[in-house]
Amino acid sequence: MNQTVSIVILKVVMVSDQETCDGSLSLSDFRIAANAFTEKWNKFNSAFPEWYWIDCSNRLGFAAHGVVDGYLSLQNVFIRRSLEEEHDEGSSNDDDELFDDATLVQSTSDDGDQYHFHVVYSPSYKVPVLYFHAHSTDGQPLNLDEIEKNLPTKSAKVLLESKWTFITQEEHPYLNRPWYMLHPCGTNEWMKLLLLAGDNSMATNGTEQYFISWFSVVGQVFGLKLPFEMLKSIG
Amino acid sequence: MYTIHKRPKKVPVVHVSSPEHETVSMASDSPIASRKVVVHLRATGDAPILKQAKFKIAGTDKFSKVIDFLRRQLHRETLFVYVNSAFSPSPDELVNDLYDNFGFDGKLVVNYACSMAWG
Repeated sequence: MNQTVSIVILKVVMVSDQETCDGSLSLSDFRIAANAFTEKWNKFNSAFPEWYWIDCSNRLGFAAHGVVDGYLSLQNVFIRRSLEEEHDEGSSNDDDELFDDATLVQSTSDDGDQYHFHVVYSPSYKVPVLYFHAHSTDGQPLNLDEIEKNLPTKSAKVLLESKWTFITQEEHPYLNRPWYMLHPCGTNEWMKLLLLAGDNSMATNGTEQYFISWFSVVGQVFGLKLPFEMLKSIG
Repeated sequence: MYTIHKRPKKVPVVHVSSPEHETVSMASDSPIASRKVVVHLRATGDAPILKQAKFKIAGTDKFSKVIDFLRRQLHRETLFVYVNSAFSPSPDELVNDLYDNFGFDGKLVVNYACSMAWG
């Protein structure tokens, strides 16, 4: 029943070009939404590193006219390990991740492990996808087991239950290196709830609000919270 | 830089035993905990509607308590719980803070849906 409804909505959406109604986003709206999010984040969350847009419109050797190509990046977020510090030196031997050479910064103390987040548009799912890469202060990339120790208990549990559908390692579409990603196939289902269920005015502001709603969910995986000021701007 | 402290694994999770219990008890010994917030649980999609859709919870409780309550009532491990049809609050937000920012008409409306798939 629900499926039928969503198919109908999808068709209507395609005609009327209001992508946000089915929980997905067009590529050009991805850029608009990313902009709006970055602006608010940098204004209300200044204690945090800033998100910025990485423009990749020239990566194929030519700038296609009017085509958005790029992703959002948030670097150097420190997430502290659990209290029982473990050093599994041996477990990282099958780790083929490369260092993110651009982001090795001074590590003052034991701030925890360093995370880098990229939000990349998925053309197949038409939703933003969170890619991330983590390394310890000595630059050693973290594997999934080590990452799991940094996650809040709830996400660690989800990870355990759905190992292959939650966080997996994939090739970063722009860096062509293995990064971890949160699986996007459920995204438009819950985004639909966050965009549709409200009042009718949502349709117009949906694009601008999209990332805030979206990040309120995916941020939880890492225990990253949005300030109330940002949430209030959409609530 | 921002540091996130992982919750130690051995911290016991506070359980709400039943809705009745939730409504009448929680008379706290601490004066700060005295404010109760009315939470209105609203089902979306195919989520079952609860017999008791409204309950009171101490404002000093974390939002995770609301989520745990819903989980037990619905016998579902994975739930999608959100506020104002706009965002999903972090489980460690205080009910008081959510109410102050997003409550209206004397209550905090919490939506829930059963489908929460990552993959």
